[in-house]
Amino acid sequence: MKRFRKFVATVFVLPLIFSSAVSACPLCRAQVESEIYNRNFLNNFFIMLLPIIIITAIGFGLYHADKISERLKGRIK
Amino acid sequence: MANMTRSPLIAAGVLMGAGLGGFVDGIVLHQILQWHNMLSARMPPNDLAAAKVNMFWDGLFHAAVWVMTAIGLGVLWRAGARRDVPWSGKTFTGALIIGWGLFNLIEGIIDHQILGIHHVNEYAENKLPWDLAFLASGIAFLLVGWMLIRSGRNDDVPRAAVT
Repeated sequence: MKRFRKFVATVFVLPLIFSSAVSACPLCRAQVESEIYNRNFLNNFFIMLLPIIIITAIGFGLYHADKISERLKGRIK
Repeated sequence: MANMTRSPLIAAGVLMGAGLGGFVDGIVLHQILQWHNMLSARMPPNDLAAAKVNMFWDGLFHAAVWVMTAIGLGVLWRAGARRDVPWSGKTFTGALIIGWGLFNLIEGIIDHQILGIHHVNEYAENKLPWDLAFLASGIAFLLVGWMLIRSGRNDDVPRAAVT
């Protein structure tokens, strides 16, 4: 199972590392890259991820809802 | 239902539903209809370079919802292996719909209303009705999902007993 996970991670992550997102447009590549990888990159990245982070947190909260409610009850007692 | 808990199955459905709802948004609104892109209110895709920058952020968005869907699948797998989690189609379908509704509501509030990085239909003269309809669809999905989850509250057989 661990080998399979490593294989899946490698197959999906390696192309992201070694490929350029804008390599299909040689004429405008420099302009596009400069408009992606500028000082706003991390800001845009966080904004893009924000709804997904919130929903994932809700999902994990739901998964552990019983443990969380038990802990809360324990604190109240 | 003594010592049984539905929350892991609901969590899996919410994560997968939100992920699949994100794919519907990205595929239908970003790519097929081309009503908006990730940063289209800040950087309208009026030329090839701007369209490609938006395409990059759309791609990252799709990658992120793919990861969320995959996490949901992992949670579903774990929930299925637990003997204290009832294997209920109604509960899971309801959670999927709630996940989609949550995605529309949270994405709509954050991206459309608060940050304004894009709107549902960037080409409409009045964007607000489209944005409000998107939020309303989220609320409707939440209600339908909640009713389905409620209707499955008496399901109490774990997956191990079903198969």
